[in-house]
Amino acid sequence: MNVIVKARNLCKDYQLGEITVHALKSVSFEIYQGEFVVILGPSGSGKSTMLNMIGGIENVSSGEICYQDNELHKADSKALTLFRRKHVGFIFQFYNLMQGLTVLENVDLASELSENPLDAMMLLQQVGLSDRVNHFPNKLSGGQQQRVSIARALCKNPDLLLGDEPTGALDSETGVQILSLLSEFHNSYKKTIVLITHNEKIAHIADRVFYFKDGSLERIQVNDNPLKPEEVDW
Amino acid sequence: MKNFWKYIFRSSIHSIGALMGASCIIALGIFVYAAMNDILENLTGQIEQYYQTNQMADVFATVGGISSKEIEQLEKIPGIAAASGKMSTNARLVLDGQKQMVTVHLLSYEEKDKLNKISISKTGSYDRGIFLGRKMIEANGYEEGAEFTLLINGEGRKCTLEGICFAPNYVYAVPSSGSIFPDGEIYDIACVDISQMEDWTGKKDFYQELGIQLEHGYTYNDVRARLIDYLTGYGLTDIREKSDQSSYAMVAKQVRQLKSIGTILPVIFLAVSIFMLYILLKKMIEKDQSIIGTMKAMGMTDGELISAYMIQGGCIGIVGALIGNLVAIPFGKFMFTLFINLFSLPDSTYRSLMDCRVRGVIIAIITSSAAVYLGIREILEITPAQAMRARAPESAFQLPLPTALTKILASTERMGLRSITRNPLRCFLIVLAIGFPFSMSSILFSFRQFTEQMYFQQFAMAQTYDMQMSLADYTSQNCASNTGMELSGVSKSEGMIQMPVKLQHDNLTEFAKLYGLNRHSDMWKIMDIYGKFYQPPDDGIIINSHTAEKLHVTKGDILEVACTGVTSETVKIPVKEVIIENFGSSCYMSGEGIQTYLYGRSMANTILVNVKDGYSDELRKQILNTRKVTWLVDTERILQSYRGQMKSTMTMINMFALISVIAGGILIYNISMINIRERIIEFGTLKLMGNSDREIERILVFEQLLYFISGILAGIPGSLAVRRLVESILKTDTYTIILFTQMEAYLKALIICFIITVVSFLAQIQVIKKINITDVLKERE
Repeated sequence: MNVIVKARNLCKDYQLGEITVHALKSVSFEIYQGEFVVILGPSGSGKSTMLNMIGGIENVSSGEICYQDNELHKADSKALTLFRRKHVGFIFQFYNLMQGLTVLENVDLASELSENPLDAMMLLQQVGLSDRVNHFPNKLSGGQQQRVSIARALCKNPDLLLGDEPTGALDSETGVQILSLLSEFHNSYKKTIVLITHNEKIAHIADRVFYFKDGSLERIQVNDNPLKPEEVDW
Repeated sequence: MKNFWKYIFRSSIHSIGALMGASCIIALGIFVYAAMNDILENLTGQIEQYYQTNQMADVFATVGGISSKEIEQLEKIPGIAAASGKMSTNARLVLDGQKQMVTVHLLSYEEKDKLNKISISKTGSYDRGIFLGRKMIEANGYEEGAEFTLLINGEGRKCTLEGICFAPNYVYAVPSSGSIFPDGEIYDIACVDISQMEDWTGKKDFYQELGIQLEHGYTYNDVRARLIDYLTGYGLTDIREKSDQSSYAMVAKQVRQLKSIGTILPVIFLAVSIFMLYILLKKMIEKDQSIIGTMKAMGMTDGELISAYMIQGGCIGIVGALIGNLVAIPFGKFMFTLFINLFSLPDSTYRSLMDCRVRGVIIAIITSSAAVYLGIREILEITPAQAMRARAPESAFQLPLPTALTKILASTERMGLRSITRNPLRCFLIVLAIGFPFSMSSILFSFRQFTEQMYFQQFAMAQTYDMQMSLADYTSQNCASNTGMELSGVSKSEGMIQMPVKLQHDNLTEFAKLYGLNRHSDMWKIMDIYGKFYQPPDDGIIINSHTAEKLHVTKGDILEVACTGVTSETVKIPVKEVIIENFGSSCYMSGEGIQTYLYGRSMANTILVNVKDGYSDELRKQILNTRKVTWLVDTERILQSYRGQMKSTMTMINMFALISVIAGGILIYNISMINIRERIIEFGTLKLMGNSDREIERILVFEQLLYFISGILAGIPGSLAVRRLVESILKTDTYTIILFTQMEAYLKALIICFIITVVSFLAQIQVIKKINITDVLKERE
């Protein structure tokens, strides 16, 4: 399999007043094309920082991170914007939908950023929201909003789909639905998906699981036979 | 990016109140800018055009009399392109049932006039026909065909009103003494055909007022000496260049003051508008920080984000400019009418100037876009991940307060105090928002009292006579005083002399008015702008600082003084004092001093009287019936006229006071509301913990009170700065102003700022009452 993301000795430090917080401590890994990766770890373990760096929305303190041939650790703000625009789709824990836009407009907004977008209506149909296209986000439930968020992320037709605890704000039933959806898209569109969670059960559906603790990648677990979300005992 | 623009548009509608507030703020700046520009450009444009069309002269001279041939000789002096003359005299206008003395400055009209051409409403030859100044006709309601009697040199002449006349050198027509504002009801210009004038005065080809045009490249100083030499033989009483000519100088002064106000005030208001707009938009954009972060994470470029928000800023600017420009039209028109009423100009029309409007729109768009850019720049500088993270709450710090004080404060009050320390910028802005209207309005509110004090104190403390009568002939001081006492109703009377004099020092010459006052006069005391009194000297002369500056004279110098029109011989008089006065270019001596130095005997041409209560009307009637009084200065009338004329300035000043209060109001309200919305979780948590609305209100009351006190304290030095600014912009060559901020004005400004603070506090309370605890707790910090 082709390596799509490659990280070497990746570090990230934050300055909090006089204290330097080492959010990531020399992390190295590779992510392959079409892989479903779950990043697991307790709060403050560095998993969000890691995801942000993969997505090019956080600067690197030291080390290297590359997306295919793009050296993200060297890229300036403009190059990172272009990288995100072309290759990355984000799904956020709190959806981050534009409250002033309808469901369809929110998804369309992403398609405007892409050279090769997927059809917004088709995606909304696939996420089961074709009857809600003209609704504003605040009229939708959390699960529905996350579906819009997934449709929006996919609409750009990105190579890499990153999710920062996409089920974190949802109840378990809705969470399973969302994961099923992501799994479905992973299978049908062959996208590389990286998800963050601190729910260990989600790890069963991933190809590989990255365990983070105190800013370090503790271990990588490979699932030879990943389960379908509905097969997981939640 | 149409969907993101759609989002911006919808979120704008959602925050329409705040955006309209921002538009109103920029509208205030544009309003002041556009209105002041319109007034100025209309006024200066039309006045300049009138001067040009009617060939306003470059130099003005007054002589006892000179023939037209002798005037032509002036054109042989190198540097003089043209010269022309007019016959002139002051005449009383008598009409049946008249209640007050009406005087006209009668000028001869000739179609062939080369300079200072008089415009009349209709041409032709009219037997005994007279044309009056517009202000006089309008003020007294005279109608064409009205019959008058003109008292010229004590002789009554019948005449008929034919129409209106205007003269470029009498755009601002004021008598030589008694008033600084044109009062058409009692004084204006008039003109009659030259042949009629010759007939009435009994003098042929005998001109008094000369106009001289200089050749290109020559200045007054190049021809001055030759002119004085030549004209002295014809009884030269006054000579001055255009810039010192009474009407021209007064018009220029008004325009200059308007220009200063019209430049500085819009700059202040625009600067404050831009600053307030920046703060408001910055706060609004900060609310969108996580959206901006999300969009950046999705790959939207900085340019795309900036352009969308800049379009929003541009729209705010356009709306603000439209509102400002629209409101400026009626205000500009109103102010133009008030100013134009001060002047006598033919066909004055107000035009709303397009280029000024366009400039206003451009300024508004640029400033609001710049404010948006500055607001969004900070967010764009951080990474999308940081932008999407909630801002860390600002940390509070301990104020070094005495322990005793902190013990007095309740925990809610301590919270209020610490909340202020958590966000010093917000604190500074609210203090500024209170301090700005306080300092502006305290000065502007002082203006009315100041102007009243300036004009009225002069009559209450220095010129305490009720009436001043100018006599047709000279008499002695005793005789003048006795004549005054003979009039019924007069309680006190004094004689004095006022005459034009020529003052020389080194090679410098100035023409001024010399007042010979009673040494122990109760009715006319010499007073400077600081309220200090000076006794008229027997052994010297007191001169006004404006004249002293022009002559390069200081206390102790020797001046050469000649009584122009009477004798050209000069006498040397020491300068006893140089005093600062608000107006004019006067000089003073005692009657005895004038006797010693100039005339050799007691001289008076003016009677000052105080009138017993209830006798004023009767005295006016008596004066109307005497032909020996050529001019009456009626203090009551002048004060009445001053009040009327101050209307234009006061309207403008009040308008600016109102604008500063509105600007402050919008700012205080908006920042307070932003403040409260930013702390909604904090207050929601307090409510959840069981704090009542009243307890939360106490925190806000304490905060608002601290803001208010700090704002007022900051406003006091601000007020002093604005005062100095106003003083400096109003100061001219012949006009000095020392502003005094009145306690009453401070009090008014304080009350207004307090009301604004209370209103914004009440609005905050409403927000607190509407807090839904469960909704708030669902919100992310």
